[in-house]
Amino acid sequence: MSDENSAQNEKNTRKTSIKWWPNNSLACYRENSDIYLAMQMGQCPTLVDVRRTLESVTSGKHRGARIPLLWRVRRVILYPYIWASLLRVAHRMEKVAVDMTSHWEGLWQASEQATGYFSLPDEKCKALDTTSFLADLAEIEADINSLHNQFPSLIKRMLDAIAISRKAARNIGCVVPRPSAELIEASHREHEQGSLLTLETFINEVQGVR
Amino acid sequence: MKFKGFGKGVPDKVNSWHLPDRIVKLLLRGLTPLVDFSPNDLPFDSDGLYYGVRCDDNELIDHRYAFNLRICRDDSSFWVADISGYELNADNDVVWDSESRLL
Repeated sequence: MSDENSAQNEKNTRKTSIKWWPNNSLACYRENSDIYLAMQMGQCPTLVDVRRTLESVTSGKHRGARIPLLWRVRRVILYPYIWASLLRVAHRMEKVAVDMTSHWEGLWQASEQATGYFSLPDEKCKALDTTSFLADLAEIEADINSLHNQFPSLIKRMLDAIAISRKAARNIGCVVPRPSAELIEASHREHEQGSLLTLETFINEVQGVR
Repeated sequence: MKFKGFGKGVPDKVNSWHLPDRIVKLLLRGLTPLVDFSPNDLPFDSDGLYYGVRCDDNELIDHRYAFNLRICRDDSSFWVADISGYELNADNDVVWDSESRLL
C-alpha cells in the first residue's frame, strides 16, 4: 500500500514539476466598466523546468521493477538525443518568449497610462515585430513535432504554449493599426472645410438607420 | 476646444457593419466620454492618437467587441479620422473583423 502511495506521489511530483511562467498575463481593463481588453500571452516552461523534469526522469529515482527492461534500454539509447533536442527547443522558446514579453510589457505600461483606454505609442508599434515572432513560433513548433512520441505530455504542453502565443501575437498585431498618411490628410481637409460631424450628429446618423 | 468631430465617412462605415443594436448602443455609450477629454489627457505622438472602445456582448457571453478610433491631432484640437472594429470570442479567436488582419 505504501509503495502504491509512494509511486502515486512520485507520479504527482513529476506531473507538477513543470511550472508555468507567472505574471505573463497581460490585461488592459478599466475597473467597474464594461470596457476592457484582456489578452493572454503564451505560456512556456522555462529551460530550468524542462531540465529539472528530465533530470527527475533520468536520475534513477524512478528506476526499478516498475519500469520495464525494454524501456530502460530504450531510455539509455534515446535519452541523450531527446534531452539535447528538448533543451534546445526549450531554450529557444524561452528566448523568444522573453523577447516578446519585453515588448508586451511596454504595451501594457502604455495602456495603463491611458487609464483604461487602449492606446499605443508609435515607437511601441514599430518595436512589435509579430511577423518575426510568428515565424519563430512556426520553426519551434516544427522542432517540437520532430520529437513526436517522446514525453507526450510535455510536448503537448509545449505545443499548447505555442498555440496560445500565436493567438495572442495575432491579436496584439491587429490592435496596433496606424492611420495612413492619406487618412490623416483627408481628416485635415475635412477639418479645414468644417465638415466634421459632432458626436450628436454622429449618433443620430448611426441610430437613424436603425 | 476638446473634440472637433467625426469624419463624414465614419457613420456610414459603422452602419455598413450591420452590428446588433445592443453593440451599437454600447459603442455609442463608449464614445460619449470622448467629448470630456482634452487632447492633453490622452497619450499621443506627432501624427495622432487612438481611442479604443471595448465592450462585452451580454447576449453572447464571453464575446468582446473592440473598436479603434484613429484620431488625428493638431496643436489645439483633435478629431476622429476613422474607425475599425473586431470581435473576439472567449478563446481570443477573431470572429468578426472590419479590417484584414495579420495572418
